[in-house]
Amino acid sequence: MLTALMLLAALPWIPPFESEGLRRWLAGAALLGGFAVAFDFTAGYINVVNFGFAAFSGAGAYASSLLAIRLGASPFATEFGGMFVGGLLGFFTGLLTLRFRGIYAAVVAWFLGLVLMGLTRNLTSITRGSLGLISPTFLSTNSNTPYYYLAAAMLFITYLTLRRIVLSPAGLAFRAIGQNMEAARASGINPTGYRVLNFTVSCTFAGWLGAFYAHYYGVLTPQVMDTSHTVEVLIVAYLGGRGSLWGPAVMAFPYVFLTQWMRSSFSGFPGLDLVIYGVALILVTIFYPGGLAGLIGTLRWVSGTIPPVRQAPLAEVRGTAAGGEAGGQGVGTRGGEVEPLPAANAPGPVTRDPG
Amino acid sequence: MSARVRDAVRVLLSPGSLTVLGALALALAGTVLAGPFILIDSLVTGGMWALVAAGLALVFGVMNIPNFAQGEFFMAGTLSGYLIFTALKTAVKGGGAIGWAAPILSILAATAVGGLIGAAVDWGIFAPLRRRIREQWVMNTFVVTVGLSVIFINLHQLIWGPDYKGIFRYWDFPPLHILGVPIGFDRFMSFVVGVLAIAGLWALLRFSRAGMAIRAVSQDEAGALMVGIDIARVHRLTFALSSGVAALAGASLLFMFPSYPFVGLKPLYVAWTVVILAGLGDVGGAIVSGFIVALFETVTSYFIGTAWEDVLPFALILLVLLLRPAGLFGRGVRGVWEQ
Repeated sequence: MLTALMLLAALPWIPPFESEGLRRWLAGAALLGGFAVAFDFTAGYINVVNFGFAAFSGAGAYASSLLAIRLGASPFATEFGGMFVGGLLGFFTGLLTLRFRGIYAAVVAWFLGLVLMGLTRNLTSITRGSLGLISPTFLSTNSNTPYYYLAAAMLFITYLTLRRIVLSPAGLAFRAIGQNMEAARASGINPTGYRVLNFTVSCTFAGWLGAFYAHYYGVLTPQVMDTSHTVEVLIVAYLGGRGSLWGPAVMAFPYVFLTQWMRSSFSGFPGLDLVIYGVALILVTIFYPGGLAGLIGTLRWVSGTIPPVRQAPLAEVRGTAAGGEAGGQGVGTRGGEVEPLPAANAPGPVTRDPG
Repeated sequence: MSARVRDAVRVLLSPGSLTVLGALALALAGTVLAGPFILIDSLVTGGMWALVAAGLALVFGVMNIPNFAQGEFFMAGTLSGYLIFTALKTAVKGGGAIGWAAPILSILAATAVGGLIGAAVDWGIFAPLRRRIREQWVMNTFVVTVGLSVIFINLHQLIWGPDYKGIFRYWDFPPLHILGVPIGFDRFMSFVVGVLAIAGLWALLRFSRAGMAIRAVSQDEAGALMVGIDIARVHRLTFALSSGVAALAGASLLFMFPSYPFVGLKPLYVAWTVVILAGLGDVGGAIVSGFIVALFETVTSYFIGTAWEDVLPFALILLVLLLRPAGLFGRGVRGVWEQ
């Protein structure tokens, strides 16, 4: 943890990153990392893909900007307005949708995002529509370095807060719900309550980080709410490793720089980077759900730095009615049988003693 | 007797029939106020949206996959339709017979291409995925289709570039006059193709052995397995069929939607709108709703303006989702969302 913090602080002074342009990308990467952590808090724990994520953060961005413009308040104060709006939207969306299967919430959030984007585009008297809002910036400097530190601090606060929640009993409930909602319900957890809590917290941070976006780049158009931005956050979160929080945060940095490098070195091949990310997303989802976090965990285990920690449950009940989401495969053949999980979620083999 | 009347009234007042009646009234009012093009445009795009949405509903009903990449199969249809059409045009210079053959061949070939891509996707991704994971299938496949969509859009961008690839005078014939109303031949033919394709899809699902197998799997997978249906083959066929009809719609609407990387977004939104309106997995409902949504779109863009075209339908869908999650034609309130 401390090493990560020091690395984050020293990053702008390590040789390739001294230039102003690269520090701008660093700030962008820290912001994207924050988004991916907040996204992973929902996708990786309660297993709901918030497909309107960009719209929630965009709503926070607009709320904070409008407050700053209309009231003339400092962005340092209004960002909490953005946080509040994001959380409020998330709370009501969650309340209305999270009784049902995760895909319902995903689709409602998606359409809500489209409506929000359409509204910001059309309510030109408030938002100036597609012309965009000139948002007051945090600082009156042209340097990107202070912004990088701001973004890194926000990433760190987001990560620490969410990690704290995840390690609390509530976090255990989130995981239980994410793995098997019926089983969680049977063990006395109120799935809807915990899911709404989780969704609200995630959207609160989305709104807050969205406010940073507005007051850093200074220009805000309805485009920030576009689904393509949600897809970008989703890719980073999934490649980083679902349910680890730190994986998505770390992944944002190589993602941003790889994208920039590919766009400048292969400018004759527009879209090549996204093709690669799409393929990587599918491969990771199918073959390696642990993502970058799982890979690093395995490497550290192999090198003997850490003992084999398993995060996956020790056993689970297969073939119950609740587990039938896969389309009923195996129903009847394994009815009610308890069997150890394969090491899909665990970093490395779990039966051997470390050398 | 009175019981029968009461039954009839109840059916008439059900949300489904009220929606259909409301849509008919809207169509009538629109036609009277603005002109017959409201009806014509709704019928032309409605048939195609119905096809794309039916594919989406089929794949969700049979394979439990919420397909985010359905629009990209439409895009594949527009692209292969365009490429084949231009190739035919350059191969046969100035021939009169090309007038009929070119669009028909383009549409047929595009459908085949779409179906092949769909079968390949199932073979390469969903079949292995099905063997590997069981937990959280719906969310995982949703993410996989998001990845697919990103790949398809950017492959198009990479290989064929971002510019519009459209065709004017797709069906190169003079406009028809029906009851004194001029109708472009392009529109007329895509309505005909749409109706034929819907009828074909319906007949296939209703009467053929493969169609019966598909319906059996969508009703009860374990039961279908027990009576000896090859589930893997049914899945491949279903996915191919779904992407095939989406590609057919793309190739048929080439004169309206020129091919470019993001052309699939609109059909994707519309198909999801339709499917939510009809209830997830309901293929028949999706056909009816396809026309309703197309009508609603035409009316909104004419009377309220194109700027709101993207907001009002989505807002309405949000309402339907929140108030009747099972869809307007859904029988139970607890639908597929709750499992």
